[in-house]
Amino acid sequence: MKSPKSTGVVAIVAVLVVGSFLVASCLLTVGEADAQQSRTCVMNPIQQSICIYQAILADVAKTYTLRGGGGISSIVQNSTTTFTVQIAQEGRKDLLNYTVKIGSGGKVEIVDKTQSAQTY
Amino acid sequence: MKKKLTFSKFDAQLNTDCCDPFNNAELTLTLRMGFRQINPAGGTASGTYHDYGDATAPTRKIVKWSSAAWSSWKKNFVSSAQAFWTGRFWLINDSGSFPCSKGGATYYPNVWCRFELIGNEATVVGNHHTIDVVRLHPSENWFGSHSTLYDSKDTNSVQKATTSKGKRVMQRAHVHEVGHLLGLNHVDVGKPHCPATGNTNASVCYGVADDDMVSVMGSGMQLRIENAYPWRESLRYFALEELLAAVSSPLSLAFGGASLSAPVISLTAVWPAKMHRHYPRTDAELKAGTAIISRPMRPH
Repeated sequence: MKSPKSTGVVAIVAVLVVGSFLVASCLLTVGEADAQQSRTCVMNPIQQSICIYQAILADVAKTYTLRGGGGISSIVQNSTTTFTVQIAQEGRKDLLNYTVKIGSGGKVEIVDKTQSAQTY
Repeated sequence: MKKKLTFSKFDAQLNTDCCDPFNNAELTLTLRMGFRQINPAGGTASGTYHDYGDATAPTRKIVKWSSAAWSSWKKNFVSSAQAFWTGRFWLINDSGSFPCSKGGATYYPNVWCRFELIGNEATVVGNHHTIDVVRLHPSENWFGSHSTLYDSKDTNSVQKATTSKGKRVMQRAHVHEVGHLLGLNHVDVGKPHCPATGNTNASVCYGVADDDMVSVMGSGMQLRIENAYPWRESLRYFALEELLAAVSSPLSLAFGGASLSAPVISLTAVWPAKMHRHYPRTDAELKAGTAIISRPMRPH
């Protein structure tokens, strides 16, 4: 039986490990997201869709320069491989339309991106 | 001479009475905005309201306007927007319009572009535009506004974009909106990536290059020469109006009618805009194309 002290140390280490994983996930770039997806996306539909969203979000973080507004208000799946990111801005919603390709190894690749706006 | 024209977007007054060897003519555009409170439903102190007033969009927390908050917001909106747009441009008189005689000499004034913003209640008759305004809860930092629906924080300076060098581009949304009310388009409208026939509200229309992005009709606060467009266009209408009056009354044209300055404002005059003061010019200075940008020596 572990002492209360060693149990506490184990718990802290566990928290740090999980926390580091979460932080790393949030800081993924497109390339890093792809790298992770190629390992894990083939596993199941939920993990695969998470990888797709991560790849899209990484692209938004890298390429969308309008930092104001209300942020991402939704990401909608339109078909198996097409998704629309809605970003709220003054007087309009920016619509980023992504087409992704899921490779045999589960690797997610953004193959097309178009942008439009819904004006109010 | 003081003449007024009424447009759907604003009124314009051209005043040449103030011309002398040091002072230019003044062209004042007056915009009357009618503001209307949007309060939580059912008379409650707080509630929610959808972005853009669109029931499918996210909601933001709003609070009821108090009389003091409403008055203060309107005052701040009007004074800051007016200060931003007034007195920033001079239209250069290359056509010899509005000759003004003083001490035996003739001077040709330029046109100083002024702006007057009047903030009324929406119920007042004669407003050019009616704007609904929500009062955001202190915990809310953003609301989806549009051209006729503002929020209480639209007067705040917020980051709208980031330049290619990573510099934050800040803007107070209301000065941008007033630019639209004056008839200005987004900075990149007309460029290949933002055709005037397409959706001119697309994000690329707010400027792709850093210089465009920081423009007030982009995502920033910088005025540009082309933002003098409403004043230049108004001046052209004054010219057209004078021409039409002259055509309908040839005798007036022949003998110098009371409503006309002689010569009439030329329809073909360009009136190039400048963003610093240019003083009235003598005939010789005008012909030489000399720009008088510091207070000149003139006989008193």
